[in-house]
Amino acid sequence: MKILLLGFNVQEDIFPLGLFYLKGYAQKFHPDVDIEIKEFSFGTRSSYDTNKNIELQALSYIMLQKPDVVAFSCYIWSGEMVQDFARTIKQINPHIKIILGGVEVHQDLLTENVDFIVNGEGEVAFKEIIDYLKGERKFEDIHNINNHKTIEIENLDDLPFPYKYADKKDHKVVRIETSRGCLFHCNFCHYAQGKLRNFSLEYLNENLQYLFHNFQFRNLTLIDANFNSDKNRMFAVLDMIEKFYQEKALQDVVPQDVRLQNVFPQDVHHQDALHVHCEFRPELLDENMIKKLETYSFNLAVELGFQSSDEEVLKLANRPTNLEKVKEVLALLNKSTIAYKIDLMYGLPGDNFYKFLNSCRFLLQYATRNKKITAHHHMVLNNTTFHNDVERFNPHHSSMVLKTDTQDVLDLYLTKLFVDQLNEELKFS
Amino acid sequence: MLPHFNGIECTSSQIPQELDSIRKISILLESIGDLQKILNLKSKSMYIELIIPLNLYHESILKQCVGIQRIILKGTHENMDQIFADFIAYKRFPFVIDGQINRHNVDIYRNPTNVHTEDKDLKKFLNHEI
Repeated sequence: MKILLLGFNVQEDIFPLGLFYLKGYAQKFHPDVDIEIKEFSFGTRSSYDTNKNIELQALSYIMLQKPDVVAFSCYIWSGEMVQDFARTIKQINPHIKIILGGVEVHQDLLTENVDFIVNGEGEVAFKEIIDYLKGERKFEDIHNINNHKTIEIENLDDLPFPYKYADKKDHKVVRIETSRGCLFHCNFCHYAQGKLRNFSLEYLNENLQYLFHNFQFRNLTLIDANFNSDKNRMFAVLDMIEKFYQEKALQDVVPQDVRLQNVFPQDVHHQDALHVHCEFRPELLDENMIKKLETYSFNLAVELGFQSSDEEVLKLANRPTNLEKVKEVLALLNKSTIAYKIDLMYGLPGDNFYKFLNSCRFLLQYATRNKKITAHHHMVLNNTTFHNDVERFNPHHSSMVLKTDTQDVLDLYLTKLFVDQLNEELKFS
Repeated sequence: MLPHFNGIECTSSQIPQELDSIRKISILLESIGDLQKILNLKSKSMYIELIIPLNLYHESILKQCVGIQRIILKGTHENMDQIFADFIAYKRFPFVIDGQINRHNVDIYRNPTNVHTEDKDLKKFLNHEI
């Protein structure tokens, strides 16, 4: 059996972590199945709309590869495109089975052109679909697809480390997860669905070492929803990264015979400094944590999820926030050497233009090292509360919010233009 | 909210010759014939605010003003929607001086204490209530 796992991405040269998780877990049980990962990058959304060459390229690739199964990951930028794509593949060869997964899939996509919709953790579904296609499992016993029962992987250490399946060893950005799920249950967030589970520190230690010893990269992104939700665990992971980074620097720069002498890792000049990115919940930081975070030799950049300073908006988003604590933490970060940015979201239920301006003003006042206002347009993601609670939030089909209970599309676009204007002003202030 | 304007203010007929030490300039357009003079300032990498009286406004000005950091209309009439649509087409937030008290009026950002409104959320914004 030959399976193609396809990704359609905006950015290039970022390790496709999710696809390799699928491959690794499936091959643990089905080493005989040929699973190939291929990514196609279409640049910006507008270039896709005006030029469908990427579709032709990927279809031609499929025709030559002659797979039995093609699986796509669907994200905000590719969700609509893969529907057309699935139809075309079925026209070329109706025998090819098609699997759709990723955060942007939903049951409405289950048409005559799609055989399986993955609606839970993909590793389980993908492995069990292969069981089924090999005649080892009944269709109704496949978990996490269509409307079937969903289950989660209890022990994340059961997932093989994805990088062990990759041939390409150099990437601009590599990403890892140290946990899945989240302590919090924000209504807009995809991470809020599952319960919080951690990879063991032993698993992370072994596999981070593998990553640093076998891969070339300058950016490491920890994709956990709130990496600082357990501070002891966070520092244990960052200490590992520090250790392997130092070892690698020593290995790369100092010749073998010199290494036997008394050369301390911190004396080694890092020609290509490592950048480590992670997302924090600001209220969970404190002075001691910030001081310790400053001691690492890699460049740490933290992204703080904030979204809004408005009490009602935060309440509707099920995201209680202690604004006084956020102010304290921002004051500490302003005095520190840690690079940070703090994010807002517009288009949330209950929000309006002036409330959003208040949120911007909060950041201008307290996040003084923030060089620009980062504001994300609210996207209603499938399987989040904002998507599923139709009675309360009445979501529209488009994932990009075009209308809310308090704002229309003009309000939302003017908000975007205002943020652009504000950022233009900040360049000169 | 919008940073206070710490530059010089002048009319388009009286733009100073010596601008080397100027980082920000606000210019009131007096005549369409002065527009090219203002556009020539773009090469000086300073922040330019252009105030266009409504009687001089034409959509083509927006097209020419790519690279001008802020454009403000001076004056108002009953239906500003067509002009605001032009601004949106050029990806600009429509700002107005001497207009109604709403999100387009620059006074709510620059002189909030002088603004009086019954809008609950705008009031909160003007009073710095978070």
